[in-house]
Order: sequence, then structure tokens, then C-alpha cells
Amino acid sequence: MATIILATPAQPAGQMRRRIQIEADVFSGRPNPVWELSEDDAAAFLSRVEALGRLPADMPSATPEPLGYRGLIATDRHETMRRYRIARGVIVVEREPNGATVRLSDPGRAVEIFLIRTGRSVLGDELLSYLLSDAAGRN
Amino acid sequence: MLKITADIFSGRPNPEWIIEEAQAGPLLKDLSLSGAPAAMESGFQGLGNRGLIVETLSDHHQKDFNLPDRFRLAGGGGAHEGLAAELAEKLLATMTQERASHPMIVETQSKEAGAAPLDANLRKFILEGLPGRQGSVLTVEPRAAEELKLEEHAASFLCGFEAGLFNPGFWNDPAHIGKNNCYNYASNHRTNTFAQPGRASGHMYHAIDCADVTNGAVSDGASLTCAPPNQAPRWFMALVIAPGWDYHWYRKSREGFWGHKPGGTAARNTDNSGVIIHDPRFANRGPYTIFCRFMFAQRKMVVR
Repeated sequence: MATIILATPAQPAGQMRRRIQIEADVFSGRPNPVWELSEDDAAAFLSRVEALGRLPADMPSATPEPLGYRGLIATDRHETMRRYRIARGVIVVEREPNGATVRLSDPGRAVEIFLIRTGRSVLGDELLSYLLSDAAGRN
Repeated sequence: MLKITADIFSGRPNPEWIIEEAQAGPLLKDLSLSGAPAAMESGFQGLGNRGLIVETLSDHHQKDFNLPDRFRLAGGGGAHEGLAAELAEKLLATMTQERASHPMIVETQSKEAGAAPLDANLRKFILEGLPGRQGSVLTVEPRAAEELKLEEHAASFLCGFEAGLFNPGFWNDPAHIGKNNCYNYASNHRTNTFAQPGRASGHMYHAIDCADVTNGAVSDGASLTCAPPNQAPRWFMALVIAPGWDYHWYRKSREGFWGHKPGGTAARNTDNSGVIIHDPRFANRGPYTIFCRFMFAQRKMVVR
């Protein structure tokens, strides 16, 4: 399966565009599918994350099974290179400006499902369906 | 003063002995300069020889030599295992029954307690079984058909091969974990290229099916039949497929189970149910539902 990075429209002068790359952590042998969010989707993602509630630092997370879909990795290619690990209803934000790691609650895996859908053209129908089924708890 | 423990047994008390201050200093100096001491949780942790445990019983040693107060040596998890084995041999040379009777030894080393006598035979036994010692890779000789386990029977192999000790630490450190995949792990080549079957030899797979991925590995030098002894090390591998999506590989370890590395995640010996993998054909493989076959990596194999 080819890896396609989506092209994005030019940014109005003076405004820094947030480039957010999504990686579906699903494969073992082949490289994982990767795509970049559109400007609108990037803004929507960041807005959704900002609205999420924090989880206690010591709250245990569900461990993904090693083979198969393990979650998403979102990398903000803006100057901070902040990374988000999204899986099983928890979003772990790494590389906060102060170096801390923050854990957020993603009720109903809504943010995860939103991001999966943005990768339709890269994932293809079958893989998309598999990821969405997992996010809906049906796998 | 040091306490040395040979971490080798499961039921019987491990051999323990004390090295007095006069001898401890020079040994600690050698250890601190070698880079051989390793974390307690490193290296081989299963049944059998897990190396030596060195414990300083005086607080000044930690400051003088910048060593942890307790560390593992020659257990297979250090950065310099060859040197670790040499130093372990030096420590083993100090193992005597008298030193095991020192008042600082809490767990009795008596025969009545089931302890092994600390003699030359035990010293040889420990030294030869150290995971960090050269030769921790075992050659599995061809066996008669009736001795084969189920997996090998079904595979119809009567082959000799090599099986190394499970060493996840080699694959899981941050510098390498994301750059090496299942194929790297199974063929035991840490190339940091997220290797693909056939890419090194110019015949990379196209379709995600057993035939194409197998052909890619064979093009890289893998063998579908017995590999000769002069192609050692010959690693015993297994290939599975998530049809149309992806492939996955396993490699047999000396301990008898199979290890694997799902993509850029950690190398491990458990399946999707958390169960140790004794046969990949019967493991929980998630979406990798098709078991293709067993095959062998061999010395001439190149991956990229």
C-alpha cells in the first residue's frame, strides 16, 4: 500500500500553519500508514484536544494487543514537535513545553474516530473499517 | 565487602559468598572501568543461569567506584558481555565453602537446606552457563523424527539450527526500537532500516501473501529447507500473514519459546492474549490469521 502525504493549501502570509501528521500504528512488517491533516482538520483536532479532561497520572491505561491496531500517533510538526498517542480512550500528550507528559480522557474514543476518518484515502476502505471497528469496540 | 550470588536456581538456594574488603576493592575497580555491570532487571530472566548478582555491603564502595549497590553481571543484558564473563570468572574464583559460611550470609548454604556444594564442579557449571559467555547460542542438532516436537513434525524438518537466548533489551532501547521490525528481529539483523523481505536483494515483495513475502525472504538468503552447518547461525523463523495488509515473523529462542517484535513496538515472547508463545501456529496472532510456513535465516542472509 503506498503512503500518501496529503498536499495542503498555501497559508495566508503572517499565519503559521499547524502541520499535524497522523500515523496509524497497526502494522508489524510494513511501515505504518501515515498522512497529514488538512488545515481545517488540524484545527479541529487541536480544538477537541483542548476541551478534553485530564486523567490522573497514575491511572492505568488499557494495553493494546501487540499484533493489529495499537492506536494513532499524532505529531505536531510545529516548533514544539509535540506528540499525541491516542488509544483506547486515552490521549497521552508528550513533550509539553515544560517537558511533562499529560494524559487526557477521550470519551467514546471520539477524537480517535475523528482522526481515523481523516485517513480514508491512505488507509483504504478495508483497513479503515478495521480501525473504526476497533474504535467502536467491535474487534 | 561484597556479597556475590550466582542467580542460577529456582528451587534450591542460590550459591552466595562474601568477598572481604581487601579483595573487594580491586575487583570493584575492574568492574567500574569495564562498563559490564547491568541493571538487575536486564538480561535473561527465565529458568536457568541468570548470571551473577553483585551487592556492595559497605556504603563507601558506591561512592568510590560509582557503581549501583546491587547489579547483575554476565546475565546477557549488559553492554559488554564478553568482558562481563571474564570478570564473572574472576569473581567465581573467589567462591569457596568458607566464604559461603560468612556471618553476613543470611540464606543458609548448608547441605541440609538443599544448597549445592561450592566446589570446582559448581564453579564450572556456573561459568559455562553464563548467558554473557560466548556460546550462549545453542546449536540444536538434527534429531530422530520421534523426538521432534509437534511444530517441527508438522513442518517436516529434520534440521539443525541455532537458537540464542531471548534478548529483548537488545531490540527495545529507544535508539533502536522504532527502526527495527519483525523481519529484523526474526532474521536477527538490527539494521535500523525497518527491513523489508527482498529489499536487500532487489526482489522486494509486491503482494502481501505467503508466496510473495516468502520469495522476498528467500531472495535475501533465507532457506526453506535445512541449512548446512557452515551457514550457522541458522535461526528458526516462522512467517504469518494478515491477508492483503501485512506480514509478521517470529524467531525461536533457546529457552524453547518464540520471540517476536510487532513493528516498532517492543520485542516480546507473548502473544495477543499475553501467553508465552510455544508454537506460533497456535498463538493468538490477532489479524495475522494465515500461518505460512517455517524457514531458516542463515549466515549468508542479508536484509535491509
